[in-house]
Amino acid sequence: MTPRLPSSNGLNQQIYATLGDYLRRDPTDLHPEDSLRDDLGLDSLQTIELVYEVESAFDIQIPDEDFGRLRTIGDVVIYLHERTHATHHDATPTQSSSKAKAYSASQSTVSKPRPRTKSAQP
Amino acid sequence: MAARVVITGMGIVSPIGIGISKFWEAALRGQSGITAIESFGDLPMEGYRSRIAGQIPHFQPPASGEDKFSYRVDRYAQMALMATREAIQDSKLCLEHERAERLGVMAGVGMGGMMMGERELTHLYEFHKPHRVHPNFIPTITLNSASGILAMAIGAKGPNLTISTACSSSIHAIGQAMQCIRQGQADMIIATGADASITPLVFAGFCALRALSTHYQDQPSLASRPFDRKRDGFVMGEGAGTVILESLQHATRRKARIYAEVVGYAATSEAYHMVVPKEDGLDIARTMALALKDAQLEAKQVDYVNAHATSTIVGDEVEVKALRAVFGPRINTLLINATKSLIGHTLGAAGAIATIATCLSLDKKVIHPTANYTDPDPNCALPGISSTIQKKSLRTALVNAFGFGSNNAVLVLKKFS
Repeated sequence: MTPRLPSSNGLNQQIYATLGDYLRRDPTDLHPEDSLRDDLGLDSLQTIELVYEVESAFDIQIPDEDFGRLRTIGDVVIYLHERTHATHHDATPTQSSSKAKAYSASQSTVSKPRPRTKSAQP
Repeated sequence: MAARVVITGMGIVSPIGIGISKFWEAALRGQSGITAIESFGDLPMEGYRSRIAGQIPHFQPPASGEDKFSYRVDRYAQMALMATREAIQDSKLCLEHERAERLGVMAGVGMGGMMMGERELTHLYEFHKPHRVHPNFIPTITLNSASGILAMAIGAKGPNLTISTACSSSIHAIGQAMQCIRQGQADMIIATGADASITPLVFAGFCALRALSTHYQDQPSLASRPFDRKRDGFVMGEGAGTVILESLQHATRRKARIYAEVVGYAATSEAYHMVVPKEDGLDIARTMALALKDAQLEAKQVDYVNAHATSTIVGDEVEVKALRAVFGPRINTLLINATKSLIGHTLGAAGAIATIATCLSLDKKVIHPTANYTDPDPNCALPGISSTIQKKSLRTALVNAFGFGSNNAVLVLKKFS
């Protein structure tokens, strides 16, 4: 049975976009009843990665004890509605996560090289 | 009686070409794959003493739809996957007809998944959010991520090992694979070497060691010049090479094409210094002698050496000293070249790539030029080193590889007959 989802088009779009991005699928191909494991083929590590992406996008932390609730796309949507309404009135992907992604792409900071006396001859 | 071991497939991802035929054509032309590093994000390159490397700028792993493995691992393991797929195709192995338990993987890896390692470390210190460390961080940076993902991708359930001995890693991987087949523990081993760590921190680390060439920033193709008087350090590279090792019996049964036989291998330590070889070269000479003994061959039977030759001042000279000690007068008829003159030093991949070049030389009766060997260093000059291709019928060859941590590895290959 298709679960009834909370209506908030803006938030739903953001959720589906985040899930679609991780799953490398068009968000319109995702359905609330899709099982993360059986329909989308996610193994345990991939489920953790999906949760990581959701956490990053919505700037929340999902405790271990809530993992068991997240079995379908619909479960994730309902969960995020609960969490984002509890913390923000209008959840949007955070600036820090966007910044982190940009930073990630550039891979920039290193310490300055320090000269040594003996040179290496690999 | 120990099984004979042969090489029946090869694959490569290198700065002068992805795929064996592209690599070999470029190698015979003496083409350099060394280019300027454009940037590490917004980090000023002026802060780096060296700013050149053997890069593969257009490397693209297959799309996730075609390959469910590549996107889960770091760049080095993606390269290993690509090289391995080519090697399997080249060997014409039908994996579904093979016993998975008799197929193993041995990987030589120097640095591993440093791209993700550096990125996650940077994030952690920048944003102070430990809960935002990526869940795939540990599986990716673990040094055996390449050997693990290769086994999963091809369904290899035999021995699965990663050997990390810096620059000699993949000669040890091939040597250990040979031992494994000799002893009957497997029929086939996918032996690979891979590294892709031209990253801000690792590159700065090699700069800090004063190990890299710095005199040719504006002419990168001239920077890697083993045995030449004007050499001034090595050039870092990235890539992967894979060879399929197989028992002769298994290869014969399936009528496989045989590139070469792996007949000898030796591993030693100098127990001397973390990053410099002992100047007398005696332990390197001992390693070559042990490998020849393992092959039941004499030095006078060797025709060609693919030298470790990284283009460092001391390293090249010590290797030549060791070659003189092992080969005596034979040194004057020995052909020698340095694959690193073309692609730089690909660290964990270097031994596997040199082995591929050596197999091709045995097969095609020609060795590629040693690029930039234009003004021979009197301490290194030998008649068999040339900046042009050399054609000769070759029967036996050595592949040398020496690594940080004071370790040496030598492989002996023979034309199959």
